[in-house]
Amino acid sequence: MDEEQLVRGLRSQDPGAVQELVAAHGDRLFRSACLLCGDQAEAQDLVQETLLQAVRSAPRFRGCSRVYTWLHGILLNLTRHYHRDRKRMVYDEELARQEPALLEENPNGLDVEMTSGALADALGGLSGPHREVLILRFYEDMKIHEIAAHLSISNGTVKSRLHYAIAEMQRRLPVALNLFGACGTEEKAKS
Amino acid sequence: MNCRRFQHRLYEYLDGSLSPGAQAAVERHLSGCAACRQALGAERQVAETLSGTFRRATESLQLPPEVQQRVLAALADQRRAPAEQQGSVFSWSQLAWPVGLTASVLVLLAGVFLFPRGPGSQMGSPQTRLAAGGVSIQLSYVVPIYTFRQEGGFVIDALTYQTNVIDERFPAAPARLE
Repeated sequence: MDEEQLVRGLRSQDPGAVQELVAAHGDRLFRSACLLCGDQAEAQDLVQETLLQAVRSAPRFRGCSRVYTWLHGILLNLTRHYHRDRKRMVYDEELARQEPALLEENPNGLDVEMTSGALADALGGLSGPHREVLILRFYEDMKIHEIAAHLSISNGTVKSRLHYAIAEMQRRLPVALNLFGACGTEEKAKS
Repeated sequence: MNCRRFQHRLYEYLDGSLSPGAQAAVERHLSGCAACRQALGAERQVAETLSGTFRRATESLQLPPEVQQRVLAALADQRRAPAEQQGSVFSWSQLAWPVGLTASVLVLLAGVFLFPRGPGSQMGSPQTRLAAGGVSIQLSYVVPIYTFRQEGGFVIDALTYQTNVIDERFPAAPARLE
């Protein structure tokens, strides 16, 4: 089923199309939601509401973007409402401790459990707009102009937020992890 | 190109979204500037590190199947709800708007035909005055306004009157356009 057929199916609320939508984009959307909100249970609710809103608003979707980009736009809006309700985000310990088995596979030889926990803490300390650009850039692999269009902000604002978010991540991530090598935490710690 | 301009275009250079001319200018600058080459390398390393860390932290996560089931159930409920409403027992609230609209029209017509002069003594028949160089016609009429709103299970209505005055002056002879 191509994207056009998928959207046609969603417009008629065809259960097969909904299943196809979940199969094609559910996991990726869920992972992005986990990074954005830091809580798996909340991420599930956010993705569920995103899918429902997508089906309900499918008649108004004009196909100007990819289906995933459209879904992610809905997810971002819902996540902002979620953050408004919670002044400070507390990251889920479960998310922070994913995949301990990957320890051996990690090419840098880093402790993945510790890295994920530190990453979750550092992300949780960023403001919503800074976290959004960081995730869109480094998880969704979007280009600067794509992020700008997705968030309805200028390229300059994207670059400025990204610059600040990276600097904050370098500052917040523990020096012991030395994630950024010579350009990152260790270097900053010495200076 | 200087270092400042290079910094400004660094992200677009990494994205490969610069024009061919700008791309060539950046590459010329890079070939002669060690500091900017280092900055570019650092940016690539940051991108690689963050992308890898995000992936590793989330790659085992899968959307639980219950989410899909809940979405399908919610959509089925939504489809069922209007059908049940259509087949359900009679509800006054369904008739609130049609009844209200019909009542408004009837009251308006009744007001026009039964009270042509309106409650005030100055209203009703047109008054015609001869003004210098023309005719002035004043006409007033009363419009009954029937409003209603629904609050909970109740429909609250109110009948009010609004007096409209039309005051037109006609010149004795049509003005000639120069």
